Amino acid sequence: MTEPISPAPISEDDLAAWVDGRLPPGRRAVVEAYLAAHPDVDSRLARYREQDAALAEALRAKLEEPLPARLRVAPMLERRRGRALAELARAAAVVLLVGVSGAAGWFAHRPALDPLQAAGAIAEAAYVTFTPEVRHPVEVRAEDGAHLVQWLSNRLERKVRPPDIASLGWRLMGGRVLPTAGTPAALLMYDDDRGTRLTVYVQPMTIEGEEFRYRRDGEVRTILWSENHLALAVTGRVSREVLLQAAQRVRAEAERNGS
Amino acid sequence: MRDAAALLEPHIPALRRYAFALTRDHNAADDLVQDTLERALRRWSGRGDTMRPWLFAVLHNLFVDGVRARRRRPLHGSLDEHEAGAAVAPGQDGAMISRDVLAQFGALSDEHQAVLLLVAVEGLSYVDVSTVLGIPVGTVMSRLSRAREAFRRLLDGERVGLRRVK
Repeated sequence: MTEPISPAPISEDDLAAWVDGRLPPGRRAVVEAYLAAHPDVDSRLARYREQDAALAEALRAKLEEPLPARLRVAPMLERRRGRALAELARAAAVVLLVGVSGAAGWFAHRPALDPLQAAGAIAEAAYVTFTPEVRHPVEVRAEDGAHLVQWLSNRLERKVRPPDIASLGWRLMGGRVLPTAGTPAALLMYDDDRGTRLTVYVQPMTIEGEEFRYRRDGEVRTILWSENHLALAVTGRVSREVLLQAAQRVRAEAERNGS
Repeated sequence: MRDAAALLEPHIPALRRYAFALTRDHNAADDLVQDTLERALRRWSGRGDTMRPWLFAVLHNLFVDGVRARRRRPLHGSLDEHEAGAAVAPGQDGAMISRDVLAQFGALSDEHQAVLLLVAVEGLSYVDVSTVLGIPVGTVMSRLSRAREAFRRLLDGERVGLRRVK
């Protein structure tokens, strides 16, 4: 006795695909023969089709609802274009500020709109002014440590302790007081074995939140940021990486000292 | 990008329907659709054929990620306002009011709801549904079968209940 080669057994997947009308014709015939022989399954699938239709019908009103204004695509595209333009304008304004305050002397006549940028400009100018000094790079030398701390703290009206970045090869030379539009600022100067000089600028400032900036004027690079009502700037004729290391150490020190 | 509006807008009604069926809240649904469209514009790459499953996938993921907490407002308040005077859906004995259908549907698990909506209401192919839900096609099929059976039981239970009251 030989039996005809029987098709693959009917699976639940076949039945689901039959409900959805997604069976290929050959398979559909097989499934329909099966359903003819199994009325219980046939009626179950009929129920599935009914409930699918009922669900679609229950949601039909939603499909036909007019679209609210906020789901129109064209205004969304307009808003996106507007935002992109505003961002561009902001970026251009920052570039402009850096350019203007980077030109020595300008910031003195024209207070920059952004206090942190203004602090960066003073830090940069102070670096350029005082680091070439051979005889008087600082007002108070590091050897007078206690006096330096006392003096700067009095002038800045808050505790100022020079950050220790000796582990990176930067030795404290000393510091000086600088004029600003408000409370005076402090400039701390460091050097390494090759005589390269680096400054840390500290200015008390009412500034909310934390922000980081990077400025560059020729070979002179500055990283500045605000924290805990201080503007801090690290400036040097060094690579960006070296500067960043120093800035990170200064930041960690400042946090440790709470100043 | 210029034809983004022309390519996206035909899909919006179906996206709203899917979002509404998931959230059963008109405002939350439109929030979802708006987020979906904005994300689509941000990541625009002029996707032709795959646009429809892609949009549903974005919406579905937004729903799963964030909106779950906000969903399931009082069901009947929301539906009564919208479905007032809803037509009687075709049913064996005409007792299947669409509101009851949706109420029973809402008792299904999220996974069962999603697969039923995408297959039975939105008419997506099984492959597209597997894209939207991020599961293999085989899982789509088995989940679909279980969802239909669970839905049937819920609706039958409802009907038995109604008969008893009468």
